Amino acid sequence: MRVHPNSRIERPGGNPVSSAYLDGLAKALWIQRMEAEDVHAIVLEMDNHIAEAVRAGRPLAEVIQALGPPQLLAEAYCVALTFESSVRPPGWPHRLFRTIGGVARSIAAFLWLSIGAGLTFVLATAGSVCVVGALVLPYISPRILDPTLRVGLPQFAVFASGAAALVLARQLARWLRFHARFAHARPTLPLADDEHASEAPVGRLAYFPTITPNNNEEVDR
Amino acid sequence: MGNEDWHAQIRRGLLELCILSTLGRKAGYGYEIATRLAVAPALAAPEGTIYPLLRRLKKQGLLDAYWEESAAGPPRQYYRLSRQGQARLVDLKTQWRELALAVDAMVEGNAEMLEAVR
Repeated sequence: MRVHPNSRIERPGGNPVSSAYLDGLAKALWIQRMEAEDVHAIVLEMDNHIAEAVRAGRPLAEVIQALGPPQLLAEAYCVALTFESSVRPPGWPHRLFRTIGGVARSIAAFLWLSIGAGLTFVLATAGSVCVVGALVLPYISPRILDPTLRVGLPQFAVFASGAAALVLARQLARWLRFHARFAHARPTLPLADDEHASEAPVGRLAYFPTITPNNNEEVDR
Repeated sequence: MGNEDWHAQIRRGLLELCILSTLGRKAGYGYEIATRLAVAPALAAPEGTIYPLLRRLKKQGLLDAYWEESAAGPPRQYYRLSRQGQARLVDLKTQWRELALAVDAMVEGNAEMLEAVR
């Protein structure tokens, strides 16, 4: 799945200038039709490059200038990877297994997305009904709602339940939207072998770029 | 083709050999590799050309990559030679030595050297 250029990559504590450059690079890579996995890995590596260079005492502007415009850098990546693919085309078993894997992942994603979407819809509907119901509860005529039933439905509890359901629905929707687009495309972080496994990063790797669903409608060109 | 273009083309062709050579001695991450190359000004390549090349070499299976924490902030992607990369490096080194000898002989017009490289 591809990443929308307006998707922003979170870099806690990152410099706005380098963030803007990296966002531009992500967008340029997307325009080059690069896979989300590659975009993430490249942006993360460039993020590290900038941080290392600045830490070494180089001015940020100089570092970014040395990397060149994001569009040119993205083109260089595209050319490098295209060249590679023309040199070593994958064999038919690789393509077959990749296709089968893709179909299986799509079916699984469709199932859990459908269930999640249904649950979100139910929560949102029930939450809305409860919130509106709680607001209009005092004004409902005794002829429509039995007064004894009204006593059993404290207004605050109904409102709170509805609000909680709406919040839950919103969170679920955001989670679904995020995972539907990016979860499967997260780059893996191979830790080589046992030699390096002992030094396996755990802390800051947790900050591996995540993409907030900020105006990130899927665009199919 | 201007002098700068000629130099850039030569350097671009040799960059793969230089990167494989430096990673053959010790694994490194992007910025570190760029710094190692910058030690020799004649080899100092624009940083924007090193990273795509690293990625291509990785995709070709010549380099293995793994991530490690960095005190600078974002994690580092380390590269090191794969078995295939080691074989490629040996091959490139042989070709480079032959080529360098031949070009040197041609440039110097040394008949003995030319005879030796035939």
